[in-house]
Amino acid sequence: MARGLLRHAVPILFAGLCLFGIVVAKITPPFLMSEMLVRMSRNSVLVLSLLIPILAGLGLNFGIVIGAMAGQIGAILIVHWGIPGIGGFALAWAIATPIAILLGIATGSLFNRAKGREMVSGLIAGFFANGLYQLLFLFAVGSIIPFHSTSMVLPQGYGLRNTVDLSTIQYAIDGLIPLRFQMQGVEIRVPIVSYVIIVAFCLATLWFFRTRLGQQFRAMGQDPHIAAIAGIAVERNRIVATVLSTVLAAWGQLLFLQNIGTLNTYSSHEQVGMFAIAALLVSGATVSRATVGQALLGTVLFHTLFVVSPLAGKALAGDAQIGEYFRVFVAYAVITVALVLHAWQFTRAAHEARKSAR
Amino acid sequence: MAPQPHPRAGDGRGLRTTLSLGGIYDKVLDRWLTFTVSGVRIPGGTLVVFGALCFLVWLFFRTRMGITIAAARSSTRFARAAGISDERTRVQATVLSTVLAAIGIVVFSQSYGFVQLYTAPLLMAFPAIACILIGGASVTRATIGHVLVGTFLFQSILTVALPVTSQVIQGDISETARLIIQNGMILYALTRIGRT
Amino acid sequence: MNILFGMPVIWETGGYEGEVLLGGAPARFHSPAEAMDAGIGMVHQEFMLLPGFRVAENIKLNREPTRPNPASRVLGPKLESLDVPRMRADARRALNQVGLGIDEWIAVAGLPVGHMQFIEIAREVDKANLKLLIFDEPTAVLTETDAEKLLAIMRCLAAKGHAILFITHRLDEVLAVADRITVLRDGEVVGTPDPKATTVVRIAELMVGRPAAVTAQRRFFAPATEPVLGIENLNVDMPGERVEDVTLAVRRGEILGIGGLAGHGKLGIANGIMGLYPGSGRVIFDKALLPLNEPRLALERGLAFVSEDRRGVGLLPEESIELNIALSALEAHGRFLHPFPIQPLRVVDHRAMRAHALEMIRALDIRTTGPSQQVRRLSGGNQQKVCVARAMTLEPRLLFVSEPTRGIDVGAKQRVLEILSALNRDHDVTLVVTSSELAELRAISDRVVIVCRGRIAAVLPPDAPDADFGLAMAGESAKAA
Repeated sequence: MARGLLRHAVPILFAGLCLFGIVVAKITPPFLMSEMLVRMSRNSVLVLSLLIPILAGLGLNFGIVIGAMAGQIGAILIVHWGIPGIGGFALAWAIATPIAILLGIATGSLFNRAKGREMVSGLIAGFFANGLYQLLFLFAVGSIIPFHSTSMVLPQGYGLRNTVDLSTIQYAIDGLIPLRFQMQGVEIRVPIVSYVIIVAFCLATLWFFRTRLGQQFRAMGQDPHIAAIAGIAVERNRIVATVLSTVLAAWGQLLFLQNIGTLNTYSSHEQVGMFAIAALLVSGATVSRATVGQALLGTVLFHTLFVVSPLAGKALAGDAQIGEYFRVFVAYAVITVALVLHAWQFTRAAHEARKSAR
Repeated sequence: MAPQPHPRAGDGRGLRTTLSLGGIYDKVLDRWLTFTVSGVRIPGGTLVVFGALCFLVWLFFRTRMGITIAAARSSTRFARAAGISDERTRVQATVLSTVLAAIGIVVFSQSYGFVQLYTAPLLMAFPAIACILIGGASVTRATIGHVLVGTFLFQSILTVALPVTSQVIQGDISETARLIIQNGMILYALTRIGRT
Repeated sequence: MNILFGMPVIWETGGYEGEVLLGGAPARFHSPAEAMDAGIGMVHQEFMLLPGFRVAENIKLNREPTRPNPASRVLGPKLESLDVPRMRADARRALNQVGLGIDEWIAVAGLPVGHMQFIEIAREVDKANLKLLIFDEPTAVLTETDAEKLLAIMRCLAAKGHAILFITHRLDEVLAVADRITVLRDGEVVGTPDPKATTVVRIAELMVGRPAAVTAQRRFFAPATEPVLGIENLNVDMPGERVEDVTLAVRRGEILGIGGLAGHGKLGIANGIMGLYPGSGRVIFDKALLPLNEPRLALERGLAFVSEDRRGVGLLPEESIELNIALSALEAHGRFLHPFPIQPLRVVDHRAMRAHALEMIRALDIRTTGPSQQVRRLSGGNQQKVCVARAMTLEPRLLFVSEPTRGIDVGAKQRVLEILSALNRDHDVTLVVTSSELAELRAISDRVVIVCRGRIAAVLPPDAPDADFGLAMAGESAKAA
């Protein structure tokens, strides 16, 4: 019992924090429910995209930012072409996929050249890709690349505006089968199709774990050397894992954007990696072990904290900003603790292995 | 909780993001020993301080502690065999690096004229890392020469980038160029670790 | 065996020459996968099992039976679902074949080593196309009963038509099961005795070979002097060179040789006493207890070590010769420093360092362009001399030297051995020399200790018969006596 508590210390702690915030801010269940339904539908797929690289032993893929950029390229193009609704969304999805595959191959090759430093490489690769992304949309668009939808371009004649209006595809998925009901005077919307997609991705991920390739990834995650001896193409599979993760992140970002309805051209993708990773870690997942259930639980906990902390900050200190700072602090603290724990467990495991070998 | 800040630093609740140093120590080093060469003002004092720090770092790597740290970093196993504590040298090296960084930001801010708070310090590390890598250093080996050459080259690229690219594209591209160059350099260095 | 199995290490370290014939046709394997496809299986010395996987998952690793599903029909067979019942059934059959009764669905982590060995064999047996099975020192980790069981299984597999390549140093086991024997020494075939007509002693002689004519001027030693270093119940946890319960006395002024086969722990003794790998036990140096796991204390007390790992432990290859020579003494004794009140901030006295380096270069005949040359640019023999010079600079009373002649050319070998002898003779330094080259140990040592499986198998005079050395290295001396 005590051991079980200790093992689940992280999610229990966060559940406690959420509860505390809910109580002090006097948040009503209907409000929380409506907020959470929206936030879960936005973020779940992004968190799911982290699972496969963890299985394959690549650790937390900070490079999903790159996938998110691919998704945004798709979104920007369909707005430019003026294709609305589900058709536009499907096209954005279709455009983002090959871009994400190519970028995933590039990221995966980078990871192969920087073995053992995948996480920091992914982080920096995200920053690097952000530079290229800026070059593309802030300078190339409108000057080198012809782009004539004036409403999207800055007054100077080149470069995209800071926000792109996605109202043409807003709720393209969420609103396919609308379900709304009143609960204590609060209207609650359930984006049914989005949840169907999320469940489908969860099931697909679970199914993938049980395929031959999934088993190969699992073996690589445990010991790449032994996996290679067993004839598994480790380097190739690492690229495949990165590609899958990047593509899933691109899709997840599009799902996120169609709910929000506006795209912050230069910042929507920046926090995707950090927040998805923090959400996953809040559930007690680690750098080397994470399940679908943990991805969902983590998303619930982390985003409850998102909703609750500004309100709690306001109730406690009269300033929502303090809750906001607390939330950012929590996100980074969770990631730091997880990485330190990982390093510590890694050295301890090496020590134990040596001991048990005698 | 804390005493009220000086009026120029904030409105009584928290400090401003950017604090002006005008009249405090704005350009104290720049102005000290300043001279002009064919119309260009040279901040002599800042250069003198920089030179002195270079000399001190150079000297440090010739002291017993400096040699110990250098040996421990180039081969942990060698260091252990020579009776050097890996953990201690790690802490020593990090402390010295942090102290130098603190001095660096003070020198930087007197020349810049402002102190930036909050997220600004986060953006200091990456350009510095990119500089030393461009200077030819690797993750395991770096000299003062690398620092000098790298800083000169990196800042030159950023300064020159603006007029050159404006022939093709209008606008200030140097910030984007900085992002690409500095992160590209760091990525390259990451892929080179452990290779000769 | 690494060549036969296409291990990456072969290609990373320069490949090989010559030809491998498999079933009469030349074969060249670039990866383990190719070797496996050709029907070669291998039971590795270090276990190739994933601890977090179940037994059946390990046995069927990358050869899992699968069932197609809608997605796999579109995206390829890699996405077929695992057929768990068949995996378990196959694993069960293979486990039964090797006589292991454990549940096939439990995790491998925590199983006894003996079980792991049999799981490895079951994995190989399960391969349908298996033609040749390689065993690399399979009995090294097994108990006596398990080892006998293993030999029985080997005979049984051979009877079923699988060829077996059995690599071992346990001579009685070879004689018990092998149909043909090939003896290798230093990478060369030295004999192919008929197992029915040969004896353990004869094979042992082949293993050791004739002592080469390396004869340093050895001063025969008066054995009555007191011990300078007492080692009691020393255990050292050095991966691949584990030392178990070694008790040994080193006498003042002698040259003690430590020999034995690779991986049996001869290297662990010096590394353990110098504190480079975690050790336990009692070590008494100069009548006072020497705490283990404290490299700095060992150096300060007057011990020094020339490591077997020249590039990793022995040298800073990027640094100059003079710094490499001076560094240990600078660290341990604070030599070569200008005076300054704050000890750690004393600046190096380059002039003193240079003068000392020049003296060492002359004394040891280090071939170099000058004391500021990078050590990386020196030949192996000269690098080794720099290592010795650094140890000498510490002015030790007892010096451990491991593998002094590994990877250096013949002329330099002779020179290094002469330097060591001279150091012992003229400077009164007690030497403990560890080497894989028995011949050179016998040439310079006063006594030779042979280590086998982490323990001392025998302490022999250098002129003892070849067979005695061979038997001790194979761990047979107890049985033979």
